[in-house]
Amino acid sequence: MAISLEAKGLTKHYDDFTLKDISFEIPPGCVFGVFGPTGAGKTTLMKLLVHQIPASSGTVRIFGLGYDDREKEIKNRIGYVPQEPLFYQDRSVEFNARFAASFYERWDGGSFGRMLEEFKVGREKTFKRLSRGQKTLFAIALALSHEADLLVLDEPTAGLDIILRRTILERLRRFAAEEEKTVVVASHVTDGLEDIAEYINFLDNGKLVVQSDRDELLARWKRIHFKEGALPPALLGQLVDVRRQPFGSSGLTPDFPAIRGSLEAGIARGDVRIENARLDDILIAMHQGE
Amino acid sequence: MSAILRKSSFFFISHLCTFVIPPLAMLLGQRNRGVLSVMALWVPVWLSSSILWSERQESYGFLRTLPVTDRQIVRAKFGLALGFAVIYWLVLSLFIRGAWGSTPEYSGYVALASLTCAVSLVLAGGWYIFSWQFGPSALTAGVIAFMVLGILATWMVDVKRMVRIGGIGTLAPRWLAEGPWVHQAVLFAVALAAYYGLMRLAVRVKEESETS
Repeated sequence: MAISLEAKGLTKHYDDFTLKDISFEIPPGCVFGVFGPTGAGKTTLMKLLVHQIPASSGTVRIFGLGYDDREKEIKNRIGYVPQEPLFYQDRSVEFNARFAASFYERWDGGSFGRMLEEFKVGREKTFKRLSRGQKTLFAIALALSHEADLLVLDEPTAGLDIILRRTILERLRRFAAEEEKTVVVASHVTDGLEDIAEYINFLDNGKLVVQSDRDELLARWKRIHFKEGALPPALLGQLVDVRRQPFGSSGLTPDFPAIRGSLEAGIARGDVRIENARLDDILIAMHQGE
Repeated sequence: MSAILRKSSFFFISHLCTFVIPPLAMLLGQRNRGVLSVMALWVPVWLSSSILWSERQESYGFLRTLPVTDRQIVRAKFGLALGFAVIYWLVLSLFIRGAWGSTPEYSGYVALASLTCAVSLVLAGGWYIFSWQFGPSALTAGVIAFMVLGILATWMVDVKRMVRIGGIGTLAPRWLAEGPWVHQAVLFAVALAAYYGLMRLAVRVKEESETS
């Protein structure tokens, strides 16, 4: 199987934080989501993937190439949208775009211009005068305009309104699905991203605690709604994130296939109802269960 | 790569104008040949301030997202400083020749220009490494401290009086001012070797740095 991105034993030490031994492989044509709370190490991981910072140990290979000897070739094929804008703040949008374009082997100026118009980012505006969302949109337009094969995005929907957020997510989904390209996206909120990410990774305190196919994860984790007394105490004890309400309670199970049989009777009586768990709830439950 | 060169050149050229236009006006307008020594002494100040402003306006985080390696960036920056220093020395030497002809003072002035250009080159390499190791804020403090020391030194050797009497050329050591041309060639060779060594060190520092 072809691999777009391979991380092996990736580690980064800081005085007060360590990203520990991260390994994964990402096939082409998919959206790879990295979620986790603030300070979990998502931005550090994204920076390591695009060689913004050197790793303490471990390797990253992109399209089978290493940064040691093929950095220029790799960077011609990746687009990076950082959490904090890294452009020339005192220069115009136009200057930043021209500056970046001069380095790429391929550059679609027409497509870039159309995206700026769609995102309503003025070309002559000084970069530091753009809003947070506009800065992100500019970075996304830049990343999409040099015909990259891999996009790495750190919190790409932060600061965007719901319409633009949906537009961006749809564009990312199409980019991966129709063009057989790869998207790696890190976010502390799953809102909208769980619909497009085929692979779910949960980073907590510098460690990758979940690496799963989204459908598998959602098949295992379910939210069970039940009437008072409908579940045997032993089963109730296995649920997490239990919410007691006057007209029925609910809780999450991390292993629905294992308890499915014991719920059949309750489901038949109408005392128990099963619902897909929300990714947010799963990740919070995992974080609290650490 | 040319985009990096163009962007950084702006600072070298604009600072050159700031430092050189006043003494050049004195030279051409008042026929004050002594100011050529000031133009020689300005080299380290000009290079240091150009590097300071260029580094303060740089975004290495942005550059690292682009298809360009740290090695290429370092070579471009070092190449630019070297290019400007060499052109400056050549032009200044021509001015000195035009002003002093084949007089004994001519050798002293050229020797002084050679010395300041050679030292400035090594200093420029050092500033780059300092900036990439400790960040632009530390560079600002370093360059300001250097400039204060420079002003103090200028006051101590009473440059103003020496310019007036045309004796600034004596600041250059005798072995350089009165020796054969090969002494200056050796001086430049040593400076270039040191500069090359600093550039190699700078590549390592840059590759390991996380400054943005």
